[in-house]
Amino acid sequence: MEAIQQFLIPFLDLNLLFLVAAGTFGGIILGAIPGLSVTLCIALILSLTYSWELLDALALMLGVYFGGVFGGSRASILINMPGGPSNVATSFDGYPLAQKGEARMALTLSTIYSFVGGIIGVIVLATLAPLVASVAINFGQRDYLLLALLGLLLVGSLSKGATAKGIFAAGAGILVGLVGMDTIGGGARFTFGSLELMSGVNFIVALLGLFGMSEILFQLRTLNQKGVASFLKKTVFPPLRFILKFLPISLRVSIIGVFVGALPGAGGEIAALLGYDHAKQTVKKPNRKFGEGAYEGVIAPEAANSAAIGGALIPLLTLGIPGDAVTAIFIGALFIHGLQPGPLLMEQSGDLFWVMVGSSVLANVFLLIFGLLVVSIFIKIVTVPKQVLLPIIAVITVIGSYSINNSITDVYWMLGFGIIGFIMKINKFPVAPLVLGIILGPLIDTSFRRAYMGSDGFGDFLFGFVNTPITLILTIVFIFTMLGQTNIFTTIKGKLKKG
Amino acid sequence: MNKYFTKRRFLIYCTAIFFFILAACSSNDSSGASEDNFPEKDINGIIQWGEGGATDIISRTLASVAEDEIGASLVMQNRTGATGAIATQYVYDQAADGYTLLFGAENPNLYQILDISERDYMNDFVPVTIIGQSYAGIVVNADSDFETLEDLVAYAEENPSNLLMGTSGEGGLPHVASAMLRNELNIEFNPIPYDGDGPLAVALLGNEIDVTVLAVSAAQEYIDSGDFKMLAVLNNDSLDSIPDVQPITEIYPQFETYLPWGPFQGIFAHKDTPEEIVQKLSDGFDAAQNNEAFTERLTDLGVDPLNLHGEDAIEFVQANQSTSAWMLYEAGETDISPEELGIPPVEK
Amino acid sequence: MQTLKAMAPGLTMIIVGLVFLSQTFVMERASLFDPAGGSFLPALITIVMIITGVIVIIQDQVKKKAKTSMMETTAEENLENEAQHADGAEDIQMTWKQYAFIFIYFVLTILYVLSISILPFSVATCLFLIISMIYLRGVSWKTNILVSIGSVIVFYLVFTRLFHIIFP
Repeated sequence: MEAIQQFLIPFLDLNLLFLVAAGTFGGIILGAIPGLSVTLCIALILSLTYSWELLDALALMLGVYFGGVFGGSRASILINMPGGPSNVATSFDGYPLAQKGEARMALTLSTIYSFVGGIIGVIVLATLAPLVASVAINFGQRDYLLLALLGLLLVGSLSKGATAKGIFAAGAGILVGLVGMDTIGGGARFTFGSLELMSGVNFIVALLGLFGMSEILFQLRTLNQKGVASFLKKTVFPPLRFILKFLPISLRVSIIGVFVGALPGAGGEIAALLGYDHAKQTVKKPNRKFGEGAYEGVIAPEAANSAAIGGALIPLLTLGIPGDAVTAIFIGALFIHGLQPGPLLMEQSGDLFWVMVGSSVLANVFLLIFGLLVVSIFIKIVTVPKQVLLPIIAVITVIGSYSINNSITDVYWMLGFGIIGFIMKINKFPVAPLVLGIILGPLIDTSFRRAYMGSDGFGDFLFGFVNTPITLILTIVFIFTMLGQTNIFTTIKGKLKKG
Repeated sequence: MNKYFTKRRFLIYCTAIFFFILAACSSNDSSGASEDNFPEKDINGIIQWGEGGATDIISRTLASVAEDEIGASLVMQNRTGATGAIATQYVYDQAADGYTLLFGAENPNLYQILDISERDYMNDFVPVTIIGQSYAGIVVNADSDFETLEDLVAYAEENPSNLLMGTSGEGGLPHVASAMLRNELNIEFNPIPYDGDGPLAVALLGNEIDVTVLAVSAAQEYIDSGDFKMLAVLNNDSLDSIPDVQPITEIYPQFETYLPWGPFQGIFAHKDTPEEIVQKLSDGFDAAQNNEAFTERLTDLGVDPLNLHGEDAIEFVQANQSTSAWMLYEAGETDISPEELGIPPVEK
Repeated sequence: MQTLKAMAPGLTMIIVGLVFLSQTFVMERASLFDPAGGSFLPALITIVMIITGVIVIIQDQVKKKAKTSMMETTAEENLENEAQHADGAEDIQMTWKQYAFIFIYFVLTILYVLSISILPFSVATCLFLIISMIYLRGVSWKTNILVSIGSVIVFYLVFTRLFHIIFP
């Protein structure tokens, strides 16, 4: 009973209501700007709200969190530039949809299913938090390795036929992800002797270059072609029956999203990739092929990354452990406001838990409302002539990559990735596997090596994969997924035979 | 059409030349900031570690209090990587005018000896203030069979390199602490590196590692909740926050020479910063650290407020460096002799 | 010459792989043959990358042969071609003029990045936007100026005022 009262606080307190709404709205707008990461926004809010009441600050932060992760998909769909790492997978089908004149449909569907995913995340947080946390905490290094490899299998479908080139790009991506100081051995890797490179290549910088700058250069090629705007479909709001069709798949990927989000070593970006992968594996008859504008290809990653937020809050509130970079800032916020985030947080300040759950539900409701309302505003982006749009995006990529570390070197890296991406595009090398490699590389590296260090030789290392229930299940899933993709291997084999 | 094209081209060339000329005569417009009216603009605070960690929380909390005392906005920024060497180098590369400050932990003390970077607190920086020190403790999961430190040591003696010891990388707390144990007790662990206190706590909760060394602040909550057991605190006295845990010197008195020793947080400026400016900053942060709410936050975090300045601060940093550097060298963790780097040995 | 051109993508892949592989040999504090070491996995990956390079060369040769000999395509080859085609629905053909056009714009962007270290951020950005739109053509002077100044104001408000990002 008390819990329900606390849950309702944000709904009844006009101040909190307003803050959640403002946060969500601001998050959608700021999140849509590539390079302005959600982490940056939340860190800013933390420093602006030192003197506020704790609940006020948290309400604003939660709003921005949900809004920002969602907002990033706007840029993925409309200009093929993910607003943040969580929205990379959304661009795989979102942008092709926009290219086919269905931008409005993509924006609407992703909004609705971000809301669904977000709500499911919050429901799991409210009902199963301790259980999920205990499973997440027992997730071992091998499990992370399998998860990352599972994500890596996406290379097959992202290469669109050029599998060998795709594998090459993914490999290069992994190596780029490993640049810098080896967190395990302490040595420098691929730094070519530069201290600047010791901290590694910033992931968002690579993203801005490979998706943003290279896309600008690529589009310059077809500057005078008629824009998408000329055949933009004027679909009104899709019928309810059509929307509900996607509910089952969204529920499944949301569950994946919550769980991956709850893992202390994996966040929304991996949740979205695995969600996309799951949709691709299980949806038998998509409206179009995946990668060419399948509705499920937009719905799945967006539901998964929204659900991952609820997931990330689980270890934060039950154990005081951050589930991703953003929840790490939440920990700082709780400390600065005089709370002790840890396993005792729920006991000592249980009201906080329910107020946060309430605020999260509220944030999702506002996300749905604002998200649908601003579709018409966002859609205007595709009607802007390229001559105007491309220079503005160029400026955004420059400022965005600069602002991550206030470093001009990062901007040159971004430009470098831009030209590499452009060369890859005109030579028909798929760019997405490269990004996939950069995302998953560090996780594969550290989890593989830690697992190996903790085992007694190679035999023991392999035995570990069938040793515990979680790992065994993941191993089986991995093997089946790999077998499901055997077309990769048959094509390679076929080609080899011919050569 | 053709005419238009050439006109456009001409324009492009003109602007290109314009930019080049500008680039060529890029003036050093950083007119010598006068020391009397410091600060005249925002001060940049560079935090060595990531969001949510102890260094981050302490730095940001202190910054919010110190803004009024110093009379300028502190713009805080995390620059992580290479155990803080990136941030350290960055601050070193900025003008020595007191407008860029390093909010750091103990790590730069060991950069030279571990060959991570050429920078070093003693040679390249001047401490504005040392905020506080915390202590380290040896922790195991609550389900662990080890009830006391002696159990653990006995097991490690019989099964060398069998116990999985979670570490936080080169020069991190567990790395130095296990060197300490090896020196005095001659026991070996199998080290598995993680990315910091948070991931270490997760690994210990999930029983992925057998033992680790955590800052008391990071372990406290889990000890209170009954998830972890702390076998000993690496200090020569028991701590107020965990009075039941024995100090290691009570079990093995030979550790006395190294202690007290532990992680610390401080604010540093480039060594060439004018003295008046360092003094002004020092005074400002001094006043801020006397703020009651701030000291309360520090104690909550398990950090001993120190508020050291000037010579005291330098002495403190030197002592910490000597202990850690010689310990690692004697344990054979590094081939670089602290002597060559001019690090004096610990006075025994 | 023709053969070399056909082999270019594959050769590039092999060279990139070899460069990375050479870097794994010189890594400090890492043993190549210890799976837990820092260079084992990267070396493994570079080897895979080199192998993919070889495969691409073979594929391209096969494709070329099929083209030159104008053999009747068997059903199997049809399938092959389909797979080959899926990677780029449109074959990307670019003229030198287009390359030059894109390259100059890229140089312009680099100049812009150089200029923000010297000029005030807002001036540099405004100039870049105006020049870009002139270069890309098709935008009237009025829109050009309006859009440039408008976006600079928005950037200034969001990045400098809100996020305290200080440009050099």
